[in-house]
Amino acid sequence: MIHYFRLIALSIAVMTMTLLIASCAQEQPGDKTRRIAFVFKVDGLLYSEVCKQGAEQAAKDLGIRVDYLAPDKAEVGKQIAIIEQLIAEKADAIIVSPNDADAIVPVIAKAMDAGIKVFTWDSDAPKSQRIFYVAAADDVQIGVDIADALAKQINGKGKVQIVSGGRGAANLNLHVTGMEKAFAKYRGITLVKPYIYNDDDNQKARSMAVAALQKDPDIVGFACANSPSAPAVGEAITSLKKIGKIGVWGLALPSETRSYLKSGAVSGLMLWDPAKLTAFTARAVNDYLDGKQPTDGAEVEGVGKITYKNGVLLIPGATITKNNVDQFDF
Amino acid sequence: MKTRLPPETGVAVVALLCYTWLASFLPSFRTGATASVVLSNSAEIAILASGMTLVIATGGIDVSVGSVLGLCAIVFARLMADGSWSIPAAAAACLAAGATCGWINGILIARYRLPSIVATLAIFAAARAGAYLLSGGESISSLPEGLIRFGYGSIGGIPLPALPAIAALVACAIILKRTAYGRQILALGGSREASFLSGHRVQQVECGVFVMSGLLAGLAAILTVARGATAIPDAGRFTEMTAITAVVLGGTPVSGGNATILGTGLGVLTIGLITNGVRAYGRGDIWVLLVLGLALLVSVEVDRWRSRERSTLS
Amino acid sequence: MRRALRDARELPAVVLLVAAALWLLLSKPSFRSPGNLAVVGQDAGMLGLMACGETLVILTGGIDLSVASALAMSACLCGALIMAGTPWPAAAIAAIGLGLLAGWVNGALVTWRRLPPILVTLATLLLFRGITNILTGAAPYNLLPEAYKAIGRGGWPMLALVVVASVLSIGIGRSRFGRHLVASGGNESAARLSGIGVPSVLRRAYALSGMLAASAGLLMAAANGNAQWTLADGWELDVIAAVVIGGVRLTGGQGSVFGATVGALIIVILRNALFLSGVPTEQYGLVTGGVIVAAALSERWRSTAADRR
Repeated sequence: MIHYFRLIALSIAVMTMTLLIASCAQEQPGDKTRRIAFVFKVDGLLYSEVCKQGAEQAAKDLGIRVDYLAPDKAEVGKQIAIIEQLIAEKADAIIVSPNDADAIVPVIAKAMDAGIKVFTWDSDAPKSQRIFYVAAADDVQIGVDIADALAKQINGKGKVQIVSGGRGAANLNLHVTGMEKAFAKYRGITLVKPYIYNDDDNQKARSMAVAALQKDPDIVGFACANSPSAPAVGEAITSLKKIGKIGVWGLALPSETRSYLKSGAVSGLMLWDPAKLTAFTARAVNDYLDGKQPTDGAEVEGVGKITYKNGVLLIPGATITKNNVDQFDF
Repeated sequence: MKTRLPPETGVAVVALLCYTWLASFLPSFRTGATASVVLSNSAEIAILASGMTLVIATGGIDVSVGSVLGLCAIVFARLMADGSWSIPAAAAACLAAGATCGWINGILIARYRLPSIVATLAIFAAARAGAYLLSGGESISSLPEGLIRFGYGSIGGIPLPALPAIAALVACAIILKRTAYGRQILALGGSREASFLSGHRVQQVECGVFVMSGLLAGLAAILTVARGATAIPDAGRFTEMTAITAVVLGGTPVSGGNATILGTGLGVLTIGLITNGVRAYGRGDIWVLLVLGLALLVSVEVDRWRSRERSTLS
Repeated sequence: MRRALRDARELPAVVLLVAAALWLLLSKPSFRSPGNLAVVGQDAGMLGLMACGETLVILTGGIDLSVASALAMSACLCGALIMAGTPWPAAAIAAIGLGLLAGWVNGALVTWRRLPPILVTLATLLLFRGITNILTGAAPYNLLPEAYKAIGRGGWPMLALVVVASVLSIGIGRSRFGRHLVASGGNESAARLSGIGVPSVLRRAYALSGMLAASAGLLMAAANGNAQWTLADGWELDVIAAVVIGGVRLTGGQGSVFGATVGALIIVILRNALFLSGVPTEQYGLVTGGVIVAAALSERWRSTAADRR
């Protein structure tokens, strides 16, 4: 039994000693570069990598420290952990794209109580105390835009299949809600039930799209809520030689979808430049910390005309089709 | 070095290395605030890992805990939101749901003798499906305020979520080291045959550890829900991997027959330190996976060195 | 003959597969449409290739959790080389080589450092995917030539599986390596005493597993027209489920590549049937879980019946 206690005693002794030395050491008030931190939904997605480039650019332009953090799996619990750490490290501002709009509320309150300014970008948490939300379109509106574009292409009639990623992904569920809301306006459109949830897996996304076209051969359109779906459905339509007969609209990066857009397998994407969005957000937050509020209707260089109402700061989005896809390099 | 080194040596070395590194280079790691964040962020994994240690001590494995956590979280929230149950009543039901899932695992494994990875893999798939069915895929929010106070409160600098975690670790340590049941668990992990011949009720012993593992998954679910005042059907995904990593990092051999809860606790802390450290360096969590993979190999390597030294001494 | 049939571990799986396939062919016109059969064959081919490799490892009494990560790593290397201008067959060979190397690393850690397989491959599961993400910067490699994409289309993945499974089945029965493989899993110390070089057998089994995962990755990247680090994330559990359903004993020594192939087909066909019947995706877990338990119980029941004889 002795060796257990020796080991415990040793570990505890070392840790407490370090802590003691630390607490004696004076906090250095001097060199304090401003630190803002982005907390994205999940690390490693291409979309996230492009956002990160924007954050890095902003750090250079503004001369402040900009961190870009994200959990390894898209889970709000891990985002809460990251924000708690940022509170402990006394960051100046936190900008989060929450995996769940409700579960993030208490920790945002905790951060604001600690004097840290919290913002949202990309996805919102409207019930929280966040100061403002920056996006090109909120999670529901994106769904509406995709559905409207698809409905227009298929002349408002026929069977449409909605495709999404994880069944429990709150932001994707909001895209789907937006799609349902928009499709309800078109009498001639029927939605195929159940919707497809492909877990963001390329292979599953493609084979489920093929199988869906066997189950309901009269599907005339796919509305895709998650980014792996649009290219995967495009590949499915290409392999079934149905290009041009089926409309596909979604939310994906041009670099993932370019060849399908050009061949016509994917009709179009609703998107914005994630790097520009993130860099713009960093600038707006930095201005806010300097005491400057965003102005509604201002023309921002490289971004376009912005709107700012009720704590929602919107930048112009883009409709990407085969005609303009080559203008986008992300 | 003439002493016998304890099984926690590997993880203690890794933990001290991580801590010394972080504390010397990052000022924030010398503050109590960061220590308390590491503690509260490790709470759920600590609870899952303490149950996992008992399972692994019998030579089994439980890959279902993450899914069971998700199912329990939904049960807990559904009862409060729709059934307007009080927090304690719903929490009791949540624990019962976890224990039931564990019991199903236990019956399949102990009674019907399925390999534990197979039975718990099946429950892994089924419990997650159950969580989606019960919730309709949507998260359940607007739960009682009291939960948030529990999720974020602290007593004397120790964050409240850490308390059940410490309790779970201590309880499992007592069970393992101080009770007849604990000796039976270890005996079962050492040799099923011998355990049976010495008159232990092998089936009950084995079923028992899975019930406990499920029960603790239910406890972890309560913490998860409290931290967001929201239950998410995806809650707890992939936590089984982290829990298993913590146990193994802690020096409990996967072949069973031996176990150390102290090691598991240190393993959880190491994971917490590595995770916070990577984030403090401004890196995404993918780097945590890399560092953890390496830490796992280092710790097992130290363990090998330790057991060789012991074998030459004895 | 009856004895042989009764002792065949794969029997429940084969009966289930034949029954399910017949029922679907007769009752569901959408199942037998060429487009659907092709996609079922592709999914099953890729899952089956991984399951074959996994079976080799499990026969030795080990387990390989890193297959899906090795798949993604190899597929990304292939995609990166093709986009850099390498002819696709050369890129494919390099990718298979990388898979072989990844598997060999697992085997080396298991044998030389004597670490438990579940630990080693849990660590490499994290490492392979993490490295792939960081080196590729999450970029998709999706400008691939039509000639390469063709190998993932039509019946090619299924054909690859049939060829590999047949070669391995015959190989395990006839070759020295095959006999040694089964012997090391059945009773390692007995195998050692009878002069089998167990470590080298183990290393080769893991290397083959990595190589087959890489081949599955080549096909998957071709079928999707895209190699990306997220490819096949989480498929290792499906692979293990396929192996279990195919009647392979997880503690080693018993089971066959043929069984694992049947197991992979069952999983894929079952999911396809649920999809075509309009069952919501989120409920698949209940069915998969049920089938795993049923398969394991029937295996259990058969082996106790065998013990009683």
